[in-house]
Amino acid sequence: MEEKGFVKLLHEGDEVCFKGIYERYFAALSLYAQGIVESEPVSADIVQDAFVALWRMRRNFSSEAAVRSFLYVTVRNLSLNHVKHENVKHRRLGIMEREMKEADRARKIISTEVERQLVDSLNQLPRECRNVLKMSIEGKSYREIGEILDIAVSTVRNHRIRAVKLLKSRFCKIS
Amino acid sequence: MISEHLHIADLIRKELDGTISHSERARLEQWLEADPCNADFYRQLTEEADFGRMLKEYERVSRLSDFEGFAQRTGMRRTNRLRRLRRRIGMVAAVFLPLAILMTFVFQLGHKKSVSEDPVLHHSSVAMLMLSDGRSFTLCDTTGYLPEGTSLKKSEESSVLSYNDEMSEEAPLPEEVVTSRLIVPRGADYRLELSDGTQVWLGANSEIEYPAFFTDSVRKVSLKGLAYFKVTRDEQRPFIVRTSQASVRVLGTEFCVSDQNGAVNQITLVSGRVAVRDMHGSELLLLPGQQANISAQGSNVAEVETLYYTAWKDGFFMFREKSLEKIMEELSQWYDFDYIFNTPELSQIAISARMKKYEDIDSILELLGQMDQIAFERNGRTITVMEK
Repeated sequence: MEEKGFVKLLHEGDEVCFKGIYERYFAALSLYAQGIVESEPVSADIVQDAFVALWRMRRNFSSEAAVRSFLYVTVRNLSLNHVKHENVKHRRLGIMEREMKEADRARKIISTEVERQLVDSLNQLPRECRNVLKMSIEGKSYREIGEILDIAVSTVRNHRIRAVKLLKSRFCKIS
Repeated sequence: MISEHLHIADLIRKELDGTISHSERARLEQWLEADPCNADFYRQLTEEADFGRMLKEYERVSRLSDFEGFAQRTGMRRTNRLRRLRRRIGMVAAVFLPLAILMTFVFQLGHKKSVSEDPVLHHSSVAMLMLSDGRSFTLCDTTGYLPEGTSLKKSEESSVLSYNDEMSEEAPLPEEVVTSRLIVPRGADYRLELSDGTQVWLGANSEIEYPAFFTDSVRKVSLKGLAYFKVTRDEQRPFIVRTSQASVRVLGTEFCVSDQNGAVNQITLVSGRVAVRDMHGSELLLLPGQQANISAQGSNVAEVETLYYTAWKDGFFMFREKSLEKIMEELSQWYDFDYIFNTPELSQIAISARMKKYEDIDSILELLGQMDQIAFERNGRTITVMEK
């Protein structure tokens, strides 16, 4: 039913449903596009174009996985097209410097998606846990975090432990 | 091609989570061995990633997201207003009416009323979950966020939000227990499984408030609207449902609570035993098959056929000599429409019927329209009841 419900809302063009997809994929896709077009505003435009394309074609999707693939494919194609046009415009010839090997491209997509899912799960944490974990990842000490959030050091520690537990991810041990 | 890459990403994520299965790990290992660069890449991704830098990048890039711009470019808002108008009709008139005996009117078969075709008013399973820590969730799809410790399950006719009990074991500090409010809008219904295993069916236009897990010596929830409870037995911790006019105390039983407009609260007991306390503090004990009607003015207990009050949870409407006005009121909640009686006398017609719930409203109108006095005209979300 969830998948069915998702597909139904997608087909209807439900705002909440689209906003959910938009918020969860925008940043990742935008960073992915930046790897190709090397411009932040251009990549943001490209990602929005991809979403507009998704909107127009929304009735053709029957699963979330299909939507995800579509977004990645569309962003990649739009980005590569943009680079091609730029090359023509600036009379750059032939070789696109940033053109990657197929295997590298695949790995770029994989790392983007893994990171996207990690950020996604971080965003799901309870607010306090999330704040503590973010600051701790940024390299702040428990004491500093406690001062910023005006909570006891032991509470900071508890939040972090809980956050890490909730994430159940080795990523949390990093840094 | 891309979907394969994305699948590998899912596998890596699962490996990091520790939720990967044997066959999935085999697939991941196969991928790692396929290209020595893959193994290097994997090590970098999982061991050398700079999570802090990554978060900063995500935050920076998110500032450019501009969902509003997207909404304008697509005309999404307009589409949302009109979306029910655009819905195609996909209905099968599998409406059962073996018991549809009309006490006062002759049932005329073969006399079909034409129903306007454009918008189909349907039933959905979308609900909203709000937590006391300020977070909120839309429970409509697998892709959305869910609070920790919960999962959305598939079921034939509706979605079920459940709370895993394991959360309570590693439960941190009691003050961290957040209260959740599940809001079911008009035109929808929802199922909820609480951390103690208690099952709750929520009717359209209802709200329930409950803790993610029960830490007190009582299990307390509060309700607005309509709900059917199947409470897991726990002698040590009574289960209490609070409504605007009453509180219902049980140990383990099945019952239905209705507090639709805050005026008269109705508690219908199907099995077991419950104690109902009104606002004045007087207590009633209900036996199976009994119904308590509680209002500010006072309360009474009646013997009822419980099926008429609980059929909705099994996907049926059952009416016994119910006035058309009350029936329209009830249907308007389930299908989210407004109604007008063109001829006021019609509102008092008493009808008995049993029909399937998970149809669009048109099937139901068609069925009711087979009676020789009543006709319906639907214009979008407004239904006019008139004399035939």
